[in-house]
Amino acid sequence: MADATEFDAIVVGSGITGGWSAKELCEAGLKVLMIERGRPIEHQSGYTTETAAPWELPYRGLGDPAQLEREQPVQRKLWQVNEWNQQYFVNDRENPYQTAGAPFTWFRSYQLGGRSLVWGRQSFRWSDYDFGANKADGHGTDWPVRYADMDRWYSHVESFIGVSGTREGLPQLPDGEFQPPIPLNAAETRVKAAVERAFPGRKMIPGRPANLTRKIGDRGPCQYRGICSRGCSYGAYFSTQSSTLPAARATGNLTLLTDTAVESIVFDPTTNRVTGVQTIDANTKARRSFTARMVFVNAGAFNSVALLLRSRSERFVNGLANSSGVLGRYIMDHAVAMAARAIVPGIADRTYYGNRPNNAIIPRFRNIGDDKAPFLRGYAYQGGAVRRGWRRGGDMAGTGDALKDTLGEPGDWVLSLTAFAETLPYAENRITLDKAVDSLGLPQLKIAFDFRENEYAALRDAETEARRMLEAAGARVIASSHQPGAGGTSVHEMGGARMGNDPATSVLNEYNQAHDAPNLFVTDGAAMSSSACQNPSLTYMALTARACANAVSMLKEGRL
Amino acid sequence: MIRASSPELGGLSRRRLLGAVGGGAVALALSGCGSEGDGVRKASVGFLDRLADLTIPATDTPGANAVGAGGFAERALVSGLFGGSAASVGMVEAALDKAGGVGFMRAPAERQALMLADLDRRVFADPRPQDAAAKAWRSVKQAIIYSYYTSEPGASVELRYELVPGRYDPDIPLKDGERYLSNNWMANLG
Repeated sequence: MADATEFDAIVVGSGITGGWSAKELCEAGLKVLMIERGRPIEHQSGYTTETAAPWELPYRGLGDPAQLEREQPVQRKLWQVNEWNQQYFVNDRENPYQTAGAPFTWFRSYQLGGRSLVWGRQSFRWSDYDFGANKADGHGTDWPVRYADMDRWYSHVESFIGVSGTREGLPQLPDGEFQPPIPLNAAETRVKAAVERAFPGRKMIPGRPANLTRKIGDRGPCQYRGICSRGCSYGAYFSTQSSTLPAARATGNLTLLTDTAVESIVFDPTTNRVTGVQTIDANTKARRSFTARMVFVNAGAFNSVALLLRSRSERFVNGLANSSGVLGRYIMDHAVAMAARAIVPGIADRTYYGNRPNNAIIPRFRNIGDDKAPFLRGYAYQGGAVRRGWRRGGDMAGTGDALKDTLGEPGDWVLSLTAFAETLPYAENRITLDKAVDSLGLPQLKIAFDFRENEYAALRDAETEARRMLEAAGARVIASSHQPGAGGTSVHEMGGARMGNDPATSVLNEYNQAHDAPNLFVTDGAAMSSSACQNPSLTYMALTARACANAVSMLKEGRL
Repeated sequence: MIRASSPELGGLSRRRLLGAVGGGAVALALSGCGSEGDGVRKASVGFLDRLADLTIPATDTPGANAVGAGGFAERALVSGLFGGSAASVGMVEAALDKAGGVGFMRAPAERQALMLADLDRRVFADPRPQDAAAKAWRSVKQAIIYSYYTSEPGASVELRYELVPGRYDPDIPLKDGERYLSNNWMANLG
């Protein structure tokens, strides 16, 4: 419980970007209040299912279908959700939302650390193909930053969180400050060679996860357990708990308030500044006020937008910092399809050991260099190969000694390629506040989102090209698709408070500072002006660190 | 780690499981709760255990019955996992009885193994069976396999369960007869 009510800065949210805001501002000497709507989970001691064996769980890792359907009917649709980690995803019954039109699966984590505990960890830089895309083809508003503005902040973040990867020299996927890579396995190496031979310019390379292959401070290297989403007591992947929270706490400048939702941000029209926040205790429903010289909004893209939309005043009747009227609009999520899956023959005598927390990727090649595709922008593949395990026994003929003997050894090598296509920013894809309220009495979000022809065209091409590449490698394609999952499937929802140069058409400036309120910053996914086709979290973190440095400078110069 | 393979161990495991999950639902499940007719009927007492052991028999390591695989398999099916239902097990028994022309549970063990192998061959010859009994066997088989290899003996005696590999070897020769890791999570997503 925070007794003090006055701070230098308030950070709303404790996930990937909230943790970064708290760390950077605390380390700059500011007294920071970080507010988290969910429960506290401490590093190590809080990971209660981390070492549980399947036979120790009532549903052997699958979870109780009836309970999941009752409590988490949306969250259970995420393939990663299981009996070990379901407690790190919200109760949908208590946290309802609305959709208008197409379904949108909104995967959320309301707890200390937010989704940093369960994220996919792939950490890619964006390039000027991405930051320049809106300007180049006229969709969306021009990004107010370019790669040159971001380079050092990517390095700053990568050095702290620890990203493993290979240096490739690709203009569309710039190299970073990498720890040694987590390498490709036998099937991937074979397919890589064939693809790169048959399709000059295309690459298959190891992913770039925020999993340590070398120790950083108290964080140990990956043990290849492959159970990251249960929480990792080695601290071997980046999370708020393992990384930014200890750093923020070490300064002595952090006050942490959990089980507390921020109802609204308070705006003072006489100074044109925000003055603090109003909160609701998630358990007692008691309301409190806190003041600060600046507010960083890091509630997770859609919740950050919702908070601004809720923060109405006489000056901002349609939501705080919304003089442009675009707040809530231009939301995005990658269009994801399982492009192709194939059996890789000829290497039955090769295997691997350990659970790799990484994948193999084929970076974007469409509309790069001389390539001209019949759709805008591009897609990238993420996937990888495994040798099938015992579970294949349920899909194949056989019984008795012969079946048992077969299942004792690895099965076929199966390589999957999942396509992540860039989604263009459309004004009609938007979030608004509904009349219905949630368990705290706050208005529910209404999400209107759909993919369009450009995304469908990209995924059709992705299916075709995945088949061609796998077949060129001598693999036997057993399934392919170009059908995207519902919006939200990639868990890369972003936008709604986009950055831009023009206050008339954007919410935030080049430093994630609200055009309408200079001491208000939004540095999570809400700020994104386009979606690229890379996983976005590294860019959120880099934008956050950059925004914090600028905010501290402005504060010291008396400009906030 | 459990290393024994006696039937007594299986009995204990089964009793522990039944105790742990509460009697009512499981008792209902084990007796089957489908109505008679339309091929839907209660499975005979002991049928699922027998089926499990024919699917994964005891060898130099415990079989499915010894590890109590039928208990979790039944629970999973009743819960709707693996596309199953409370009627799945009874449907499989009815299909076996019908095809064999003799009551499966009254047939000698060797005959039972042949009856099951025949059903299995026919079901898996069709990649997308529409027949309810064929679907039921696919569900029940998945449940038995899952239950066996996520039991402690199945995971760690028949296969290897190593929670902390500590390293990643990306490309190594497959040694003859070496058991695969049961906790190779990505290899067993379904």
